[in-house]
Amino acid sequence: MAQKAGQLRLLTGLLCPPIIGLGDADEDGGRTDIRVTTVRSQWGALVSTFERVEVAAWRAITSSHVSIALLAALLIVTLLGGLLPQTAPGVQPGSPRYQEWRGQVRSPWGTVADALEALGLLGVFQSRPFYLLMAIVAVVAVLRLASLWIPPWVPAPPRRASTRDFTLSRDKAGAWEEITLALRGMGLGVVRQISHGGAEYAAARRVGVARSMSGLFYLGVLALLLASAIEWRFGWAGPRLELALGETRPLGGETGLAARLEQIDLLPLADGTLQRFDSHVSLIRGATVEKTVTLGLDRRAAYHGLSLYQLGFGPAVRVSAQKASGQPLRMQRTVGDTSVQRILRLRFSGRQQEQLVTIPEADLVVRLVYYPALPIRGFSTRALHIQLLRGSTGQVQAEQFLAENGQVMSDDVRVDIAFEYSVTLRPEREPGLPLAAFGGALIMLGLVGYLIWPTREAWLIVRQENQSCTCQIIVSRGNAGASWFIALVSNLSGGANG
Amino acid sequence: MANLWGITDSDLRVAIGAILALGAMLAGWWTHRETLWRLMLATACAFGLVALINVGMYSNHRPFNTPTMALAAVGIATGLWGLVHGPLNRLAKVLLALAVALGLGAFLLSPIVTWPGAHRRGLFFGLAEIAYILASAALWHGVISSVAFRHNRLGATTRSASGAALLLLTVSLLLYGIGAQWAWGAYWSWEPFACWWLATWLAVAIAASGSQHLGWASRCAVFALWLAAGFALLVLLGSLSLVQWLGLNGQY
Repeated sequence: MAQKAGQLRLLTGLLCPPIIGLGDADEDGGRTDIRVTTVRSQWGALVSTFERVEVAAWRAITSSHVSIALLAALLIVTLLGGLLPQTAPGVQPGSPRYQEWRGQVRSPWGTVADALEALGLLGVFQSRPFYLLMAIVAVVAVLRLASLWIPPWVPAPPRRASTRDFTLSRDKAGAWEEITLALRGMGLGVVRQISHGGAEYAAARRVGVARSMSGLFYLGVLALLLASAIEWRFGWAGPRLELALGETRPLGGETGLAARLEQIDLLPLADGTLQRFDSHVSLIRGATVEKTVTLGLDRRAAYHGLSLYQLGFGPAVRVSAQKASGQPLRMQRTVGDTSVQRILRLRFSGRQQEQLVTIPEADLVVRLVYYPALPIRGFSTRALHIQLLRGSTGQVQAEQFLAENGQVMSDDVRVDIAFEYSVTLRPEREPGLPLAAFGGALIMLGLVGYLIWPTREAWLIVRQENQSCTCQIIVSRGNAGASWFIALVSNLSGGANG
Repeated sequence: MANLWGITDSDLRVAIGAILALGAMLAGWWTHRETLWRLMLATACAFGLVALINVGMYSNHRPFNTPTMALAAVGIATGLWGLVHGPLNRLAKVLLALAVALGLGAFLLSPIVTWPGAHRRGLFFGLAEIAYILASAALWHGVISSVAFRHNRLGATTRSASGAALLLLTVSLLLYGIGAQWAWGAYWSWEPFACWWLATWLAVAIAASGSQHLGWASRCAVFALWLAAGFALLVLLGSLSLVQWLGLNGQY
């Protein structure tokens, strides 16, 4: 063990420079591991305490420990999101949509869902601890950005550091010239330097683009967080709209628009999945069609700052009825739009798998139940159960299971069924989207910059002793074996020997 | 298209790739001629790649919903990393060829093991999966290098593997975000599948930060690299099935 007696002043501190001492040390093959501590200020106890707190905070914010702790906290939250059901963004607890979702969760999760809800684990990403975590991430990102882009805001040397000592046979000015040259060779420059007690203290780090590029990562993180805040405050996401062909529904919000599904184009693959599913939708204000847009599985449409997305598609059927003589019969739904029509288009969704239609002229009720699959009846894919009931008695007149287009007969009435699709749309206003894209690009650039020019920081102490100068270079222990540090020491040691 | 014995062109290509990879293993072990090893492994990877692209284009199979396809893709990409990145010693050559052979062998034995349920489709989701596989392969290439070069080059190995993986995972997350924005209008909505994707990024970032703090050549850095590589592969093989088994898919 060797006792190091240096005092390192100025290397950090935003308002007033603290004094940093070098504590106990372990020698290890020319390299010395030291413990960096703060020591009492010459300006009194109060200032000393402030300095210590400032150094500790600054060191903590820029330390790897804080990075790892924040990443670990985010990892835990993210894993919770990957393992437990979470409420969709914007769904408030207690709202009808939340109750509906809660019912869906209770089905597979049972009473565990109640326990998770009581613990607040069903809304991790809308909880206060999560917002607090995001706020801490934002603060740390701002301070790290400042430490990178404001040269004098040098982080304090890490508490556990390594140092190398050597002697230069020159006066102080000559020694500094040589040190500066060696630092420049490693892409470093002195960003802060003062004299104190007969010694020169300096902090060196990367200069120019090499230092600034890494900061883009933090700027990107801030841009993403800001974009989320803008979306939360000023953005709008309308309700999910399910539309069958020819159906019109309002978009909601203050848009004053309604959407009508005009046409569907689809291109199936050999395995039954769809390569393309495009829907043509008219945007209607009052009685006027303002624009007809085409949406696809990866294709959105925009209209006056409003984005329209096709979230998916689902089953629907076209129902018509006629007498044996060919005379068409009029039908009407029992709920919702009860207008009388000759052809009805009915949607089936997770919420509604059953539809009822009446044919008043024939005293018939058509009951349709949709099954995504019905193995018990031998249907491995979709199946439709159709029952024709006597309207006055409720007696079943005819029933049939259909997997393809078909018809069901009862006396002299024929009901034709044709399978179709419905689409699910969602309108949105996304004011934060450009900023989010900008943030993503900055994160990418910052990461590339960091990988090309990883962080390099060193702290130096130079003292004049007779005709020579003793020099001490301090780096974090993780950098003690780095090639740049070894090369720097080698260059300076060569100079010392020469 | 399958022939009389039910063997498809893709099966044939994968089989040839696996045999060539086994040949590369032997070449790497018995001879010092690196050119022969490179030629055999590159051809094996080419056969495997063509087969996977063919399967991916004409079916609903993707690495995230077909675990054997994922193994094959990671194996091939690990081999390609080895061919491009180097340097190589005898053990590294054998292990890289073994990775390709194991991946292709797994795909050959059960090419149609597919997790049930819907999977994201689209150009950007596909590109995101490719970036994820390259990242996972970069980590496994690092693992192989750390085994093959136990006594030297450890720092360079862990740093380059972690750096490349982090960069590629960032690319994959950004592509996923673009795909999600185009598909359902939300670049990030904390949906469970995306959470697993982000978890991999965080795990690799933790490993990289820890390694930088403790020194890239430290034993802890190597251990962190192994953990990150294992986590990335587990997410690739099992995240979709886990999400569907837990009934989380489709909550959004």
